[in-house]
Amino acid sequence: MEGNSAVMTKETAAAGKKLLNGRRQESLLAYVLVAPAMLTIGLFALYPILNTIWLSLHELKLNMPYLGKPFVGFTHYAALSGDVRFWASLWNTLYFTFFSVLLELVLGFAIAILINRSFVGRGIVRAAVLVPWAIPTVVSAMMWKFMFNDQLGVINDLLVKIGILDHYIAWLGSRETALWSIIVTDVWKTTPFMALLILAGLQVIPADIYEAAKVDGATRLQQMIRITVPLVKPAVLVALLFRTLDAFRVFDIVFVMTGGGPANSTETLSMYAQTTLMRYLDFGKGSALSVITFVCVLLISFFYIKVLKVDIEKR
Amino acid sequence: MKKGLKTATSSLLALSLMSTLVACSRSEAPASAPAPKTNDQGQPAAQKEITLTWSFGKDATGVSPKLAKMFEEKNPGIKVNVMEMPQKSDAQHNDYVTKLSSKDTSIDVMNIDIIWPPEFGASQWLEPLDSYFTKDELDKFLPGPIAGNTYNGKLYGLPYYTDAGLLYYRKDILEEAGVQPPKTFDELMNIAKTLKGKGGTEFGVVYQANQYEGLVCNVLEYIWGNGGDVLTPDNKVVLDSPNTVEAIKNFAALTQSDLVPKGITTYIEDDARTVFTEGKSVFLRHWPSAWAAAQGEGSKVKGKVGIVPMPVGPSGKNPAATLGGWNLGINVNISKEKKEAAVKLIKFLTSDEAQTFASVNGGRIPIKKALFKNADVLKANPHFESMYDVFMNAKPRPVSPIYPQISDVMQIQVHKAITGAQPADQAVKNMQKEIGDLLAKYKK
Repeated sequence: MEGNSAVMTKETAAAGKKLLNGRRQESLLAYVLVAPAMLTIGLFALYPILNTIWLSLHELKLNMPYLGKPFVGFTHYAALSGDVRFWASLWNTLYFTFFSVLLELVLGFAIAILINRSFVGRGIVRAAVLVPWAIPTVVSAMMWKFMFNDQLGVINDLLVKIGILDHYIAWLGSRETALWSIIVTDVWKTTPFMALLILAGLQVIPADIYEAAKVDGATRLQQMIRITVPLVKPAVLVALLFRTLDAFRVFDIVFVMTGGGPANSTETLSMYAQTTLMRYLDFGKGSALSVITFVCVLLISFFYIKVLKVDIEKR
Repeated sequence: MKKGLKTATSSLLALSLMSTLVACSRSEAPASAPAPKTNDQGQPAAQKEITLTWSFGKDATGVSPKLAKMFEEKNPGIKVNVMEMPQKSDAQHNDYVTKLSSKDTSIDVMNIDIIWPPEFGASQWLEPLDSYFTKDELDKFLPGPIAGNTYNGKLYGLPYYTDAGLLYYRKDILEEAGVQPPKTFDELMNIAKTLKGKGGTEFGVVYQANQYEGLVCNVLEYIWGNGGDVLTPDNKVVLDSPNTVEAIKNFAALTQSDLVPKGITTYIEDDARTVFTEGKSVFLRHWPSAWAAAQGEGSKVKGKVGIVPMPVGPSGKNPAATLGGWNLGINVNISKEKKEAAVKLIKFLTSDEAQTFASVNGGRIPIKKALFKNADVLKANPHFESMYDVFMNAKPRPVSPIYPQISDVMQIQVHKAITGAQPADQAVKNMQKEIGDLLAKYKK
């Protein structure tokens, strides 16, 4: 600094110093302001994640305290790769995720377009659409479990009355229908969320674009394909991303409706992880299952963000 | 707006990613970082009043808090706080696991399900109680519940009230047809076949066949009642026997027959009981608690119900009942003074006086042999007399610290057999192998 001052005038040097000091202070202030948030994230997000990964490399069984907590490397992952129950639960999870999200997307899009139009009583309809989303998951799962009941359920009663079925079906009691019953419940519950996010996307499309298109003689279908779909795409992808991640971690609906049955045909990854952790007290293997779920969720996010480009600026 | 959406997207994404792991990690934290022991050994016993915390699942009878009050009156200097736990047994299990594994001392005495003592005992979470009770004292209890509380020769809990599987039948229908209640599985099938449809019924039998703990209780009664077993006393798997295969074949045949509702493989206690108390079934396999429901207001079978032990299988000799019920355990990490007070509380709760009170006021099944002949108990619960044999012969589920895993193997394999996904002998072979593997791993 001192050496340079010979070249510079005193005033510019002082000004520069002041500027640098100001910048330094400003960045210091920024760090101070950000620190609590970073600390919180580190404490409540980063630490548990790292701890779970660390645990998954150890043997830790609470009901065998004499074992201690030996380091076993990737033993749990290797064991899981040969575990039929793990692959079955992964398959159930993927099947559930794919079909429930697909149905939610189609229905959510349709509902969003409907309630985006102006008609009498739109406010009430919009509020009504949200009701399933507002009901706690466990409550709606209980409700649907009862509706799917073989003897007393309203679904059997309705289907027999309108002549689609000629006898009652135990929806949650057979491998063919149980997973689909759960998918129906999830679609009922979370389509409103999808519809709401897509509706928000629809609402920011300026009306004058449509007017311009009309002036140019575009048909309704053309307007839909050329204007609505591309402009609402970012919102749809965001909605898809969240729903996929949520569906992949499904636990409560399955836990309440079937407990993983019949014949373990509805057990999902999260259920298997929870059972291993809390019922079997096998924290090593349970952590490995959690880490696998986490990695899957990461991959799904990566797929959406990099491949489908959930990023409105790079559209 | 663009920027806003992006920020919202990324923060929501971050949140959902976090919750994936945090949900699981929460339960791990105590295990990885045990809290320091916080016992109050320092304080002199005589000087201060001792406060015990006693936890139990939601008590619909209201008996437990009253017993705590009675105990306080008799033992000045000891205060008992009662703590209500979640109603579901699984939820309580998880709560206790979290607390006990982190050496928490907020609970001193806890009600534990009959399947937990070996698991909690092996984990060194419960105080061994052998030194506090003499053999004479223990001989007065029903043998099954004591066996269920004993692991590796040590007693980890004392029974508080008990439960065992029974067969309920429609007295009115059987009497009208002039048939005796069934003693064997074949008789049960035959009577169910001929009487199904009589007296407004739609089904022959209902029971619990969902994939859950209750399924294990049901199928064990078929296995034991047909001369089969799961584990030997020295922890060897003996499932793979012709008796067990036959028992599961029968259980699966019944479940797939038209004697039962189509959805029976989704039924838990409430579902089965509702069908029976609606007058739709001739037989019901249930716990003693269904008696009150069947005789209560709103039941369509009030006054028309009888109970007998579960039927014996074709190759079996004695009827079997799976033991349920709750027991009293003491947290191993509490101070010596508190342990002594806790033992006093347990001695009181299992005394004839307290047991009679719980039986008279809450309809609970006493755990002392003599009380099945007690006049007050029988006056309030006349049906207990005919249940005595059932309780004397009731067996605990496999007593093992890895019982939850054994139970899950059985739940999955048996459910596959009764839903027709695999034949009975395959289910038995799989169970033999998987449970054998689990036990081998455990020994290591």
